[in-house]
Amino acid sequence: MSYEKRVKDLMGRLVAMSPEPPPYPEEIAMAEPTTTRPRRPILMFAGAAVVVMALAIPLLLLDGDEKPDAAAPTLPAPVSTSSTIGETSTTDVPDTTTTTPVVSVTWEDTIYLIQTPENSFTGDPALVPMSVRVVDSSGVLSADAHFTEVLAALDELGGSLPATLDSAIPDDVQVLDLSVADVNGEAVLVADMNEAFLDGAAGLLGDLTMLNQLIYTLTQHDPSQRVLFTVGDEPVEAFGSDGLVLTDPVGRDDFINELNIIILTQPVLLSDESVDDDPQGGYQVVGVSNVFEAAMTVQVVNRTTGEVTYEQPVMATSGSGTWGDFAVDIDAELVEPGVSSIRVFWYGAESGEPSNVVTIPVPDGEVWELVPPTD
Amino acid sequence: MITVTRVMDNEQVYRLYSQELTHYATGLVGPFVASDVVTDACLKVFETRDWAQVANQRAYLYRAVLNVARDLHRQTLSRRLREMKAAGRDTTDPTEVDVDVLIAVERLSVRQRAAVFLTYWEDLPAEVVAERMGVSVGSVKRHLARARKRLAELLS
Repeated sequence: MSYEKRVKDLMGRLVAMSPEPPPYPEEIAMAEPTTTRPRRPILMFAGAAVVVMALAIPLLLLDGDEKPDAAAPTLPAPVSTSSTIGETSTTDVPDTTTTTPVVSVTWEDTIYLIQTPENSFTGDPALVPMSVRVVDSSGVLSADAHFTEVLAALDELGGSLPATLDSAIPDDVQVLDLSVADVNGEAVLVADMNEAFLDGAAGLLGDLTMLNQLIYTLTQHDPSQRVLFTVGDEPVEAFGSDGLVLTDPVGRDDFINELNIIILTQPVLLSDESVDDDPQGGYQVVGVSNVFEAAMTVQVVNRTTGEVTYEQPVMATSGSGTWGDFAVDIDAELVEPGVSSIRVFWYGAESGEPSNVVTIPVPDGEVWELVPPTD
Repeated sequence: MITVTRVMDNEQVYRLYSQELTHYATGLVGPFVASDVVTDACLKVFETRDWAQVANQRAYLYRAVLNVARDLHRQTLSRRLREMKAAGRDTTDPTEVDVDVLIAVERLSVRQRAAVFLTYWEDLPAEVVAERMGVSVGSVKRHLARARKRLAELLS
């Protein structure tokens, strides 16, 4: 019996001793926060919180006697905000009679994007997760902007995606609301979409790519969670060109075989922590794959010259028909932020050429700025 | 980052997760105080002001159970085993308590138990284990490697 099976057996015997879950105790019931107003069941991005906070700053300054409702939820601190009054004012106190507050807010999140065909695209669509930051100083984004709104508004915001990446989600498709529901004892993420969602994204492949992009982005904090898509609070009975039935929750595994056989499951991040046997840490490249004999290659490439500056093999936990995990650190010294890209691929069994290549541009900072600096 | 505002009330959340949290707590501290750990953890979580905005409530509860297990009951399993050994194993109903299993688990730190439980029993990938433990993927792998060393001789 393998070590894994023996440990699983050990855990099984341990769980067999588990007592019944304690009943919902009275003291927990008493710990329920007392609210003076009902909390609206909504789910929104922290970026939305940033917007609210940033808008609140000048409003609070306008009315110094107004106290925040003690029962209101505490919003997380903004990623970054700046508030300027008029074009030349440097005072912190707004002159409300002559100027309009101009608020710059920052929206930041991870979005799973699609690699464009020009970039060694050899098979099914490749997902590329990117931590992105959008600066909105013109009030384009709504207070509860989801990532679909950010993608659709990029042109208006004056920004663009990295050249090698794109979104399969049409601009008119929007996530309207997100919530969590108990579906047969499972906590399911409910994504209420607008009606444009029902039209899909031009063709079955486009539909499935869009679905995967939505599912992976929505489940970034809990990859095991599943998503129920609704339109007008009703489960979707016919989606896209083939009338795909989406009345049950769907997860990352449901359409995985419609994707490139190498999938990055988290943005490439610089970290002191190690994800492989090298304790040094570095740029973490983490994902799942289903390639021949689980053998892949990771390269660091100068994205201007195309020169390969570093290469190392990486093995997934399984392959050749089954999906396996892989994780590797690349020493920070080997990567030039803003210049390097990281490529993950396998050498095709017949051609010997790099196949199913996924290329991730390494940002200059911690995240991709989707809007050029204003100065 | 996605921020989730509570859409299920605390009792619904509790009913949804209390069974798996109790199994998890048993994996961390044994069966004797698993219920207490779950109750303490949920009480702390539900009192947290920002609980309604936690993005991944399930992972948050798992982290709370792990924290309570580490902070309050670090020595509980060892103490219970000592008491049982002093009293003689025969006094324990073998259908309820598998002493050999507890002795094996006692060799691990609470975090190693968490990593082993979530990886091998719940079959979760390292990134989800990391989320539920509130550590990095690298830390999970280190905990698993150390646990393997400690368990290898016992399980060989």
